[in-house]
Amino acid sequence: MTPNPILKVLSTLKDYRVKCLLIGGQACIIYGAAEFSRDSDFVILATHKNLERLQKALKCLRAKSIYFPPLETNYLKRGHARHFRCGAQGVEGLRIDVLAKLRGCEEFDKLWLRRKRVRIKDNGSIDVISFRDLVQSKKTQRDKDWLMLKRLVDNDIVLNKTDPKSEQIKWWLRECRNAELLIELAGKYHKETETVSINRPLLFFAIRPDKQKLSFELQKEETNERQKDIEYWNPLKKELEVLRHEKGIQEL
Amino acid sequence: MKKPKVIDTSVLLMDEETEWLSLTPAKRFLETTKLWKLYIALGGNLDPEPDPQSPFYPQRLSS
Repeated sequence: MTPNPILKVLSTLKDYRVKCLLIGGQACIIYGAAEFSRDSDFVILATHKNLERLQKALKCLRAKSIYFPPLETNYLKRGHARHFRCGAQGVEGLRIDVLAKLRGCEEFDKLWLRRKRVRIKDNGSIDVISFRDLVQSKKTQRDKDWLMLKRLVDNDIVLNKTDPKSEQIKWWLRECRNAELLIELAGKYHKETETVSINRPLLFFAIRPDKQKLSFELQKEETNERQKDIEYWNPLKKELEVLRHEKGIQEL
Repeated sequence: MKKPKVIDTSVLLMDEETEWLSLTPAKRFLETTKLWKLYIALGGNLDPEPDPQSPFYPQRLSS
């Protein structure tokens, strides 16, 4: 049995030249925010040619559909996700989730240009969503994504705190969700904090500093973002419900 | 204006975390292979835990 089933999925997608980027839990491992994940999530280019390649790769992995909708470009381009469960030896039971759009993130072409290529000894290379795009993709309705987001940004600050560039400081000030770190950043980088605070007013509580109010505002910001995600998925879920009624409750 | 307290950010990370973060992305990915080996040896399932917070959760058709 392949010790790491994710590697088998990745190499199969590579063999069939599927244009996709690794996202989710595995990307969090690459960037240091997680140590283990059973997630196997990808953002893919939604073209007929690429979906044909994906179909072939899925066939090789003996992957079956477990959710609606069908694997078609029009569904994927509207934001739907596709889910498969593998049946091939070494990956039995592993789920593969595929999306073409990530809420709040740019189109696939832009994500592709910014991708990180990680070379794995004896296993070729992996194309991974960029660090900043991964952080953006984690602004969902799920608790675990916010935990990851926080870890990703906190780690980035701690690892790069020696002589950071102004652009990096501004990104931290836009994305950091840790009140203590924000207060520290605001205390060190006045100019950047003032600039970013125009679009993120909660930073005023980091400048003051008022940790309690800052934490409260951070929570409010998170709640708003979660609500946006729920609103994004609502029409898609309704569409899936209609499909489910039309096709009956059975596997595609 | 009160002067902010300066925090040593290194204390925010535990030793194990620091060690993990000091690895290259490729090494981190390969390290998970060891965990997979252990996980599979202990009879772990590859299917992820059901996630009721996932927007896909209610659309599940079969397990």
